[in-house]
Amino acid sequence: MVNRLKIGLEVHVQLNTGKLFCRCPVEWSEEGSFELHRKLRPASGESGAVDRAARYEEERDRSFTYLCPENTCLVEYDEEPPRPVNQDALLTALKVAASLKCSILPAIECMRKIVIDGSNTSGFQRTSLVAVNGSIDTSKGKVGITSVCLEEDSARKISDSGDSVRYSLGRLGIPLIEITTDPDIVDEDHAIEVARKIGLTAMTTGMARRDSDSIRQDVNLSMGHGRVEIKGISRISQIKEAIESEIDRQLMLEKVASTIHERGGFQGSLHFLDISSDLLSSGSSLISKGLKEGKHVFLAKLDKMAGVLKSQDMRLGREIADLTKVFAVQGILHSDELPGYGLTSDDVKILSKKAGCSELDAFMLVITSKNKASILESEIPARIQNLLDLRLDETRSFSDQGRTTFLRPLPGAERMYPETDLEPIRLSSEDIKSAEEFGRLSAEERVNKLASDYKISFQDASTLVTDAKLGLFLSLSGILSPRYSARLILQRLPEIEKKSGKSFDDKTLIDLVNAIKGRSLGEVSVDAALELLSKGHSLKDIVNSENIKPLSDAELFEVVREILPNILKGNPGELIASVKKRTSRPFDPRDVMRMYESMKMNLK
Amino acid sequence: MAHVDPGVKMTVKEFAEFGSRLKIEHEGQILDVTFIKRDGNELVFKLSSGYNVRFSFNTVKLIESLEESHSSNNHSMEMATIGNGSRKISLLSTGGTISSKVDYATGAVKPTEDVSFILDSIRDIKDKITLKAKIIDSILSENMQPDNWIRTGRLVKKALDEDDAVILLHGTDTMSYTASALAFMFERQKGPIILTGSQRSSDRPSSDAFENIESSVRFSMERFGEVGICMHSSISDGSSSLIRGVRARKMHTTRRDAFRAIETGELGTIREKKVSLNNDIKHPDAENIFSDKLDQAAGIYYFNPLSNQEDLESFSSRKKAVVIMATGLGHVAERLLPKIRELTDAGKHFVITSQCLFGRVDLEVYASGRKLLAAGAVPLENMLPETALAKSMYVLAHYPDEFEKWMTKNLRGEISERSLLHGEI
Repeated sequence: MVNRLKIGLEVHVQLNTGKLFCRCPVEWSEEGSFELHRKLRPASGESGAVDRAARYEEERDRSFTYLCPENTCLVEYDEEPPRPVNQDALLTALKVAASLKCSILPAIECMRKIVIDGSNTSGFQRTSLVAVNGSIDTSKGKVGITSVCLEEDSARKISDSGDSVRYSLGRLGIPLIEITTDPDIVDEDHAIEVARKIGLTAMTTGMARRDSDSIRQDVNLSMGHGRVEIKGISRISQIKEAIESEIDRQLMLEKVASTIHERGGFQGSLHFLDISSDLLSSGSSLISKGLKEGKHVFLAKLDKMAGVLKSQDMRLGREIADLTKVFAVQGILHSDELPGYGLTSDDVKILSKKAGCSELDAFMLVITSKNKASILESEIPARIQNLLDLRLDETRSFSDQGRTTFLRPLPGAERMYPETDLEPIRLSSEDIKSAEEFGRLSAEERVNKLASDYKISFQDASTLVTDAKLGLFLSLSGILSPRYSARLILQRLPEIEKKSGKSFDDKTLIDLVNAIKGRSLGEVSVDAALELLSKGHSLKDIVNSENIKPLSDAELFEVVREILPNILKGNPGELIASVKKRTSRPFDPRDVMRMYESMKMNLK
Repeated sequence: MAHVDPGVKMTVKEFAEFGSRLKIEHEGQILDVTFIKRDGNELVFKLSSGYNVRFSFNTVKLIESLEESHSSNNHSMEMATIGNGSRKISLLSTGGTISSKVDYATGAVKPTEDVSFILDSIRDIKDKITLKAKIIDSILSENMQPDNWIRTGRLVKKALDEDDAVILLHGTDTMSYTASALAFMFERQKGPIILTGSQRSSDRPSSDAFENIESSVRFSMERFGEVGICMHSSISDGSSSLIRGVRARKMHTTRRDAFRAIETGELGTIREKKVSLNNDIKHPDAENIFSDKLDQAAGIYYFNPLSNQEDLESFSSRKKAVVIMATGLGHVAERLLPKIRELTDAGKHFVITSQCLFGRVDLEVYASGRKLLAAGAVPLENMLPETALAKSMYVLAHYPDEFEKWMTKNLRGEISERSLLHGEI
């Protein structure tokens, strides 16, 4: 472990309260979506103070296609101003803040955070600072909580061809609580512990959304070379991987920097030589394909970089490729990986000579349009210079290959300005008081209290919380008995969902149970209704179905009497199964047992 | 920034300067902040994270003033020009959010004549144009009055005398009123007059302002003599419509495609930067003939089930012409007819348009219509009510003795000669 390491976390928790700035639900299916097409430009501040991250995106000049599913409205399309903030979401954020011992701000001002990668139709993300200066206790000491914010989630990217990107708007606007820690985390395992603790705190509100990526972590990491923000870690276990790979990368860059420094330093500029006409008979399919598409091939000398681009322990080439990928340029080759890709050692000699390389120099081939080449001609050396100066602050993403990749420069404070469509919210003292009341117990204490209040096991209570099923439990246990609710949620539902390959959202389940209760039917009917639901019956049909009405004692007695001779002849263990075969209506198996025993007695 | 002794609680006066960097204490915490503004009892600061916070001002103590404000709230009123091609286009801004810039620190929106942001999107025609931008007013369109139309009209006339086309940046709320008024004031015009605006403010990266201006510039390259409104054709970017000003109407409060050509085809469209114009677009005239006379003694009366003689009478007092937005085919309640007869006899004019907006009024189909005709009202076919208002003001000023004749004559395409089936209603 590197002891100059500083780690902080940002934990994002989606809420199931309904969307933050419109009244659309947070669950959806993509079926029947229609498309929208847009472009974004940075809104420039005074004296051209456009945020650098925003400016960066603009140079990429991309167009965006949005799929609009059923849970979207004009607000998501940026065709209508935001509606007032979702109160449940706001109160949940306050509760989380209080639990993390933060001071809640008396007035909450919604800000626009400029993000023009297309993930927000408006070009900004709405975010409100709710509370500051909290802390949690961990096995490795106190970790400060910098802030708790309430934000809207961004749209989910579906595909990215570089110049055009597709998003689905289903996720856009789902409330997110963002909890940021101070850089007090000492190592990877500690980071995981902190992420778990914060996640649990949010989940004990019962308002966390249940979905595979409903809790996401960003890691802020510094080894003394500036802050790197690693985004989009959806599994807690990946935190460790992300940190380790980023440490390795920075150690590698330290080595690259000192190597280049020893060789006399980098000049700071590149010259792109258009050699398209020389390569018409190239044996490289990458090059000939590019030429056929009307692209050009540019050659550039990389001063003193032989062996630094790709060798046993140096990978500067990959860093350059990460950058060109951002501009949708995939065609890049450098001399450390040549001969190869259809280029022979003779080709390499010719290219090397043409580029004017001496022994320690390397070269690079970039296959792209003239337009993009002129951007890359300045972007690549600027990036190399930053890396060699070990000015590493930037936003990176954690990729499936287990490493971090360049995303964009870190945004500055310029990217935030007030959401002029919303008035600041002044919190009432009741709201603050109720949040503080909630925050009085720790997350663990709240799980204990849940178990004892509802007379369920600690194990069940804690699974309900960590599986984000607490909200469902609290709703159902208001209608059914808490124990039955817990069993239904933790056993019956997963069984039925597994068997049918379907999953049911909380609202459907609560509606179903409410309707059954409305018909004065009991728990056996709930079971039967779920079976019907899993077979694709509609809620309306199920509720009106005779098949969820339990058999009366007389009806059940009749069935048991009919099958009695067979059971007596055969296997008594098949009693319940035999009754089930005879009727599609629910019954209580204990009643069957009781009737069976008494009939047997009478026979004797 | 005013001098402040460290350690004292700050007062409003001492916070006067926006943009000053301060070290303050709030509830035991020391913070480096940028002062934004005072809002009632609260002071608004920007934290280094970019978030704004609001503290009640008696809870804040100044520790130290770190840096004075560098920001300037002034904007120059000088003309900005881009390009030096042969097609000369004037871009006049009347205000509204289309021609404004946001100040990141405060969120305040300020007018600007800097249109360099459209350079990127008109790269293909950049060498062919000279675009001169100028702020002529700074007014929200809901505050526009006929005097503003007249002033604006004079400046448009001056610009169109010098240049080949005029683009007028205008708030969207009353854009179609202004467009109608200009259409009547320009009896002849030698080039395009195009009004454009934005439904989604230009302080957002997704604003329709950028493309609406871009498309207006593209339409300005064409040769025609009409007053048109250029806005998004759909809620997606990539297509724009040019709509004849006298047939345009804002049909949605917020959508990008709010402006519709009512019961008429569009004058032109742009898809993927390609302009196509409709055949019936009017050719440019050889000269500009402009009149700045409008008679403001007119109004629109919205008939409804509560309407009675008294409110019609009080509405009509001091007016020479009243545009009635009648129901359906052009009907009003029978109880109003004696009053209309009486007021018409006294020299007032009542012209009839429909609340339906789509479709022609016809006072000959039902008895109630015939009675309204008999009472002296004048049906205006399918003329839009707002257009009828602007036209009334023009006709009152120019042809007071032949009001009915000129109101029912199709002057600028405000009446559709044929009732064609045009898309959705």
